[in-house]
Amino acid sequence: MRNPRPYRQRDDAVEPLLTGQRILDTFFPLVKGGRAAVPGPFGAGKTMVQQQIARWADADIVIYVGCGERGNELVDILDSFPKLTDPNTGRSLMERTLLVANTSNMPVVAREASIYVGVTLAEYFRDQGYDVVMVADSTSRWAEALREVAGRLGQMPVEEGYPAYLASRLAAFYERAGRVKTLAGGSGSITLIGAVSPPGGDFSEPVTSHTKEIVKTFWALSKELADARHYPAVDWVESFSGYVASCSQWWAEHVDPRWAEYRAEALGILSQADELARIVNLVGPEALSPQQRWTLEGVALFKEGVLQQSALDPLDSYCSPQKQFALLDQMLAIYHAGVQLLALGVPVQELLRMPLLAQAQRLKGTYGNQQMQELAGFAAQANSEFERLRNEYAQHGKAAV
Amino acid sequence: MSMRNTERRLYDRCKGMSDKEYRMASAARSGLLYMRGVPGVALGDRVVVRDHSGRRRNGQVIRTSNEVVLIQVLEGTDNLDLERTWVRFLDQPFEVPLSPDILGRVFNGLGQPRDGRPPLFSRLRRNVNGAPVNPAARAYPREFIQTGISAVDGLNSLVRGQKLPIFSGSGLPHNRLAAQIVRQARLPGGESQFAVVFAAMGVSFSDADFFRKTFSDSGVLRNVVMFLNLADEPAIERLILPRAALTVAEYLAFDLDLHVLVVMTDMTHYAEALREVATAKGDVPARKGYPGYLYSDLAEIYERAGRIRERPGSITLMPVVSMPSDDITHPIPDLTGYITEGQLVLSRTLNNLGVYPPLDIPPSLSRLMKDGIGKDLTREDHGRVAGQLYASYARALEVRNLASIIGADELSDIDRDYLSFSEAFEQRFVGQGEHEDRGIAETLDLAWELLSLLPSQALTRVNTADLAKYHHWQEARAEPS
Repeated sequence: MRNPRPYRQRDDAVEPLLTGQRILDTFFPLVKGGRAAVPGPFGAGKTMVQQQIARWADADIVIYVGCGERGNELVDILDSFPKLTDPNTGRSLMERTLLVANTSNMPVVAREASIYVGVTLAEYFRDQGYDVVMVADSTSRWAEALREVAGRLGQMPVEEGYPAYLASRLAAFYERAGRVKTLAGGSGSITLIGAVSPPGGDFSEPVTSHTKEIVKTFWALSKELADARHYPAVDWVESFSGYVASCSQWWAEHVDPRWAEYRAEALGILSQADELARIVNLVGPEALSPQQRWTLEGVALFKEGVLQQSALDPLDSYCSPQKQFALLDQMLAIYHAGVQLLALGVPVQELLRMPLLAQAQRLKGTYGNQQMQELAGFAAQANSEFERLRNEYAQHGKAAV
Repeated sequence: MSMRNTERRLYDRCKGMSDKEYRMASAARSGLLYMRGVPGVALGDRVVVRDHSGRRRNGQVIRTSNEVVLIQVLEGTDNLDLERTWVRFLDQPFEVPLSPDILGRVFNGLGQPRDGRPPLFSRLRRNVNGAPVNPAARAYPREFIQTGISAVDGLNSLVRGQKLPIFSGSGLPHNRLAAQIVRQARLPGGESQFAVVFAAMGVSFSDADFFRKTFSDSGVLRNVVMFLNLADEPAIERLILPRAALTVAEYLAFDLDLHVLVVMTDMTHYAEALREVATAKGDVPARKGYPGYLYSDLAEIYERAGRIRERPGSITLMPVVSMPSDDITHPIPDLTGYITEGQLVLSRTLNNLGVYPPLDIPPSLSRLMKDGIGKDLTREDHGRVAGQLYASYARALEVRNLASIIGADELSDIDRDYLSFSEAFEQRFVGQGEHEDRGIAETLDLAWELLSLLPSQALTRVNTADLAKYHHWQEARAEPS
């Protein structure tokens, strides 16, 4: 169980793991066979992110390891999964799900083993040629179990009481992820996603910092976003993904060639808006130009309209790649139209008063994945609205001249 | 025949064990007694220690090996003369007797009566450590409990079988809040069999008495079991106390089918007692001197809350955790937050503004809320309204920050709306009377009244149907306020 199972060779083909979560798929993608971590303080929504992945990821098998976490979270899965259907196969989600339960009140030695049980099960299915996703909630509890056992064995504590081999054990565990040619000649993959629960939400503690070095996708959860009930509370500044370049090819082939460009632009606007918010806190909003005001306020289109996603809303819980792109496209279109209109002299207040903005932010929950026509309809409506404003001000401008 | 002989021998040995007294203590310090070479001792067994004056103290075996047996003496090891100390291993774990007569009684940390009445006798005795519940045997909690407190019901709903701690600080009214919840908690529109288990660890007499008075005034004293360990009583008793209290709670909930609300105050004192023993034992400390197993240890307590399939009863757990110097990242509240299903955080700022209950909304959370509310349980719009209030209040706090820098006059119209929203929200929605019991419909209507201070464009978490039904922005602005 502690030794990885053999395979013929590593396979470097790339295919994104689609989770139906916009912030994950579009902004910080993960590939099949990749490794990711979800760190966050308590209440930031680690478990919800993990459960959403377990629900909607386009894998053949999902293994959910409840490692030192709450009993009721596993009950939630046991209760809700049989009632849900897999959007990719149309069958009950429970049929492809395996649970490994070691709740926080169960023996610690078993907790140390539970992660290995999970990954060995994953390898068993991988060897049969399946794409497996293993979700471990939480690797911090596993590390603590390691610490407790090490303490009992009288081993020398290094950082915060953790044994010296913490980093190498973590690395060895995550190394069991990957896409391989199996001994039988097929191809399978294991994607590892580990939650990390840093004490006090401090990302510099040993487990988080070691994990950060190992994984290639890092979905950092932010307390501030969670406090404002912005879920999934994935922080777009702290998070990173090393798979963007390789995924952009897939998106270009299957969805739209402009994906990489749009993603980068949206991230740029988000960080620009953060910067502006800092300036406003120093000198007040009056100091900003209309363009900057528009960026500052218009960023809500991306935050509310794209990034924020309700796991409880049946229309929004799973978002197909097509819808993800359509929403991003729509928000950028509105943003660009706004920039153009500002150049024509439309006051920023008038833009911000447009009911269109609130409608756009509600689009995600208004139209389901099958209603792409309606989304296109909204785009046309938005265009004509902007056209009207443009004409009005163009004439205005002429009259003034 | 031979089988019988083996059993016989085993019995004799065990019997011999609890008959014999050992006098080989090799050292005693900070509540721990070290014994050498006692064979056949089990971890967690009860021990009685008799000293030279004939006084008996209770103890528990906390470590065994070939060389040494470590005994934690619950009343402390002061004045023990090692030459004249006799130790008797009782060969039984800590147990509490259980019977329906337990309701209305008061015990100390070890489950011995402290109300002047005779001890409870029953054939049913259970180990205080309980046993972990297989998640597959649990039932998912989803029955909404109405506490009559808007900030709890509307934004952080409590459900039956949840563990929801109150994170507080010294001088904040956590006891009054817990007492109000005990008084007012009920299912909307239903009366049912309930009981309260109250576990006090290291609290002052006046705090313990405040709870007793509350229970007695609201006429529930006969349904309450109290476990008291006051501030001047042995700290080590606090390690057994919550376990004894939860064993009683489990009996009441899963044998007698009652809905049990367990209030524990203060878990910080529990963790400090744990640290005291861990340091004395020489365990490797993790953060702030607390042992690495603090998480598992707290989980053993908190995870005993919940519901079991096909049993009508439930255990709802409400521990009070006082945050040392109001620091939510301190190991005790931090690890508690990782185990419990949410937290209610009290704010010193709101308390100073005179808001009661001073619930700090942004960090407060109820994880089980999503499944306990909604169409058939509370009201169809409940979840979205709660999300909207959170989002709008977060935005309002940003605006307030801004206003404190550039002055309120410089704000835009919409920002000024946010400012008046935040005032009204804190004073009228979060704030309420200590004896005010608001129904859930009342709470949600109030929420909409406050949201009507904001224009509908700003409300993107609710849907258009909600807005059409409940939102009255124009009217709100037209009214002189």
